[in-house]
Amino acid sequence: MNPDIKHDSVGTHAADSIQVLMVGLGDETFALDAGFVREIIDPVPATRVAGARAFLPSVINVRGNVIPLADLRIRFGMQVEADSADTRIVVIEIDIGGDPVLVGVIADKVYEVTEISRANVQQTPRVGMHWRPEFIRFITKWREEFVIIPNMERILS
Amino acid sequence: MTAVDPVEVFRQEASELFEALEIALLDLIDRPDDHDLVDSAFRALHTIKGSGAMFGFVQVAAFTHEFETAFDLVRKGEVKPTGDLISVALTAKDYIRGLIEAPETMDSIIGDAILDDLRRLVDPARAAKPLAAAPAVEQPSASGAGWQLHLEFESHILRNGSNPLDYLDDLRSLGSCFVVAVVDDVPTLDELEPEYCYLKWDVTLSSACSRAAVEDVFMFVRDEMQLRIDPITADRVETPPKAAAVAPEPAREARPDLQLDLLPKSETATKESGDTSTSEKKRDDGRRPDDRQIATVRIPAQRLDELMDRVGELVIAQARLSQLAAAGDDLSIKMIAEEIERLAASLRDTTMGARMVPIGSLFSRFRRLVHDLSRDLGKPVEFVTSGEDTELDKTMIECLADPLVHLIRNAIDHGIEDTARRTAAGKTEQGRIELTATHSGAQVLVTVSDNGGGLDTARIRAKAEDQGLIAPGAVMSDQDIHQFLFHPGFSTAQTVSALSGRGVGMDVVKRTIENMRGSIDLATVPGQGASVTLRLPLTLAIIEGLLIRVDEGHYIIPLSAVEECVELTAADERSRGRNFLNVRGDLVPFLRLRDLFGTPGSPERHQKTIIISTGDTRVGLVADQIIGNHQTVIKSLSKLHSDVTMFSGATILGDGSAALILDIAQLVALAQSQSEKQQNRAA
Amino acid sequence: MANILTVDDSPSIRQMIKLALAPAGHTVHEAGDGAQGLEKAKSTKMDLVITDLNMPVMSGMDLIKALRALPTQVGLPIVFLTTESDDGIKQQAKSAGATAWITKPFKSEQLIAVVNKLVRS
Repeated sequence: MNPDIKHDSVGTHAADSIQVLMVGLGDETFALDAGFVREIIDPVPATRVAGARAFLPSVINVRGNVIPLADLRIRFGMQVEADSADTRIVVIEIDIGGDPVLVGVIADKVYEVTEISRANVQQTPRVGMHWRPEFIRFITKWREEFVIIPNMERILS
Repeated sequence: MTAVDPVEVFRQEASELFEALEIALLDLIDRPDDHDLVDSAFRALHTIKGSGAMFGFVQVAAFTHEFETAFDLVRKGEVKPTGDLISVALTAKDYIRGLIEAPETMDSIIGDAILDDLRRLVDPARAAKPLAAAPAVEQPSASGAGWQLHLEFESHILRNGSNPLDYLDDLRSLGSCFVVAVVDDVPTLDELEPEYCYLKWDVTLSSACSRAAVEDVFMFVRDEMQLRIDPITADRVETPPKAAAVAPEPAREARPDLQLDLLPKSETATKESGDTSTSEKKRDDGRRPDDRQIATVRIPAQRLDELMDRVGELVIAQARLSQLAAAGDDLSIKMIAEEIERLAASLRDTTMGARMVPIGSLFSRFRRLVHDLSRDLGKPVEFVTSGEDTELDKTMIECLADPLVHLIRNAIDHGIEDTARRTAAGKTEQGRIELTATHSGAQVLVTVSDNGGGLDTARIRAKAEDQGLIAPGAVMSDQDIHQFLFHPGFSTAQTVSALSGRGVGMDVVKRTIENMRGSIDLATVPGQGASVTLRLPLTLAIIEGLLIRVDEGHYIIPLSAVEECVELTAADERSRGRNFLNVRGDLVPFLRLRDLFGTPGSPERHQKTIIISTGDTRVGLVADQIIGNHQTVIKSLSKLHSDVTMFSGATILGDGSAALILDIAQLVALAQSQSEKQQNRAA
Repeated sequence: MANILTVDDSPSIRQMIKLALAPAGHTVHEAGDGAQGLEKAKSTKMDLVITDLNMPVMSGMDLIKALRALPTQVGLPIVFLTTESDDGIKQQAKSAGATAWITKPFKSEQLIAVVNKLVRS
């Protein structure tokens, strides 16, 4: 059956807490809305796409779909390390111009799915030098640390 | 099983109904006396109204009701479907469509204006007077404590599927009932007709309900029974008639027997058979002969795409299996692999067949376009279509709509001369546009032709010289000159009419067709007309490809574009900066894919060149290795990669990795512009 | 649990009827016009027929007459759907042998109520 899951990409509807996947990228930790995450896979061979934007350098085959592989480290100007034993690809579904689009995101490490409270939402986007304000959906606290919930649509398009 | 939302089903259905309505309306222009057409238009309206109301499209139902009311006069033969009436009806159809598809953009003032027009046309006297039915007046409720009823059903009531006991049940829902079955008329067993109802009932209903509420219970059988309803006084309720020797539920107990009695009897079978033969005869349904009923199942397009994806994966997996089987020496595995290969191929063909839809659905849309253009430009035009049954991949049908609109608009706007010039040239006043589709091998040809003035080669040439596209006086074939029509921003229309000049030029048409791996032919006979033929592949989903390697990466070139493969000679290798290849005396520009893809490192030895072509333009692509033919299941590139120009799609190789498909049209254009630069530099 | 036949040229109406009745355990058969409906009623013993009147190929009115003419369909409840407000159509359908009618637009609950009444368990 086709999971026709509609989600609210901007997340303006207030829910008290949301399920997120904690992801490590370089020395940053951020949280992906678990509602967008389709699966987490081990690294697969990627095919380079000449002429594509630097942060979308290649495509991969995920269950018969050819989807772009995004490297946020390039997007944020971070150091790009070689794949390690912890490297994963998080396949997320985002909304581009009204259509659901699958994209793989390279993660240096995937931690856990956890619940974060929206009550802790901080509107001041002064966290991390890599994060442009328009990339941030909101910021919250997780284990006494600030965690960014990025706006993947803006980051990727 | 997935439950499909009826509202979605309705939307899809409505769009089909609109198409049917439009066809019927347009056909009425030619055959205003055809009753079947009027009926089929009326039926479409009726269904839109009824179903629209069901699914909450209140405005649709209200508007369509008025439309239907007006059109009913046409159905009754009181009003002729004039050209004006058809035009307004078409506008009304568009309005309803808007109400369903984008209600927020529709202004009810427009709707009212359309209805006014309609009313004025069908009945000037009654214009602007909606024909509203008077609301039913609720009857006053009974002041008494209840009702004394006498029920006598016609004896055949059971035959028609009504059960008197159900009505007694309904009465009980109004209040407590005291029911007495009157058995006086029940005959002796040998005279009893088992299908007949012999019982009558007296019911004392204690309820403050209205008489209307009681009558409502018998709404469906009112004309098949005698019903007496008398108000009763309170004391009668408290002391039911002593005649009630029978228990209050005798009717219920009689029920199983009655049911058994419903079984057929052979005598009735012969008695009734006379009627059957006449009423079973199929009535002519007023449809056009070409949409005869075929057993079909509606499948959402998305599911077909998913099916195609799965089949694609199967083909890929099968290729891997075949590879493994061929490498090993297990004979039984080889046999199974061959069997699976055969099955996969036939499954693929069947699935691709399921994606094929007749192009007729697209053609019918253009009748409206021609009708409107012909009216607006004051050029009478006859529109002829043929080959509606020709099937094409559904995705291509969608992609073809815009190019065909453009071509047809061009043909009427620029092709067909005005009436005066046609008469002067000894032609019929009415111009003719033909839209045809035919199969030609593995291609489908879609042709738009007109019997207008033909392409004005001299003017195209003048324009090209104007724009500096050719040097004045340069020797060129007519055909080459006509190709300038496909140049971006090239238009020969002396006055840009409101109809053309919508920002879509022939260059866009050409690009759209080439994106579908098709091509365009132009033909013209001066003074007699022009035709544009679109050559299209049958399907978009799977192509034969040539698998090549550039450094570590694998790429697919559509085999249909490949002319030949040659080795890059040492001389060519050395000619850096020249980038022309000598192919049997012709200079062919070439692109080094390594350079194009920004591949680090130096090229491998024995570089191969694949000569590809579109139209009569040839370009060489230099790769490290040619691997061989590859059944390519096309996957489109992600929206996130829409800025990528060199690739038209991707596919999955036997090892599960992705490979990109080269965009031939783009690469040829790129090579041409590079070689032009080089020539300019050389000059 | 009954076999119910819905005859309507409008797939959305058929779908709506199906969605309303299937959860109650009824098997809903579909036909797109009167002729198809007649064939289905002949091949499967139906407990109830719900038919539209205005249909291509064979109208609901003709279907009602044809069903009533079949000795095997004696007592089969036939409900017709109508949008016509005038009683003329209803009278015609009734005298053709229909059991009851439902006026469009209707709600699932109304449909279920009529079906429950006419389908004998």
